Amino acid sequence: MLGVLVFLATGCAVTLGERMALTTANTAIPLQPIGQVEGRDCASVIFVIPTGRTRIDQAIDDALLRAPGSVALKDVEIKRHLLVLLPPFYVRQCIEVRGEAMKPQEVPHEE
Amino acid sequence: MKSKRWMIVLCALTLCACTTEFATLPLVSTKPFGSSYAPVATNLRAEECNWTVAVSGIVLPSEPKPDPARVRHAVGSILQQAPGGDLLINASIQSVARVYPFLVIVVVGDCLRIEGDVVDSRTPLDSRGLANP
Repeated sequence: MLGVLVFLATGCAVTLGERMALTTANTAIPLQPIGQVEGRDCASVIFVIPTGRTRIDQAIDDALLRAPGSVALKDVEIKRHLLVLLPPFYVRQCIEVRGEAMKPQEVPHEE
Repeated sequence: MKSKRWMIVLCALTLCACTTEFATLPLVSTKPFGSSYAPVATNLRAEECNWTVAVSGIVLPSEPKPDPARVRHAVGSILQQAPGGDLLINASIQSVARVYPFLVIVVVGDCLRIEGDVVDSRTPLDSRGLANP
């Protein structure tokens, strides 16, 4: 009984993203914009069997891959899309990330 | 023509197709560039919960905080715990469900937990790991 109460109080956790850098502040990191990109990570549940788990870090990776050389995204919007078809036979969830791809600022070489 | 017919069938079978905003942040990354800045604090954590109370199976009305506000508040609260820091690195975001049953009252929490280390982006580290402001 005590074990059940401890389990309920501790709760079950689902990881939405790991190993990320985030901020709500203005940073001093020297970055320059490359262009607007978007990335997504999707997973489905077919006949109650999940095909995977949607992750924010994978959606960010997908967005960064679309702008070679980029290391970060600026002014980012993260959205969740849910599509339920004939429940419970097919459910599709996606995480979409949109923002401006940023690459490290080039330091001018001294001659 | 055939694809149009399929589209109509697909739309008829769709029960829900919805989009919700999860977060809006000025900067995010999955690259390890954040570790080249001076560390300010490690292993910090913040949790933002939307609580729902049910009495004898009847759910009491509550006003849940939207996800973007919860994410910003949690990240902001971690940065406040580390004065001088402005970037959260090695960050993880977890969705945690909590249930507290008290006889006929059940309190359910839909929580968002963010944890990580804080660095100061105004103080880069050189190749020897020394601060170079």
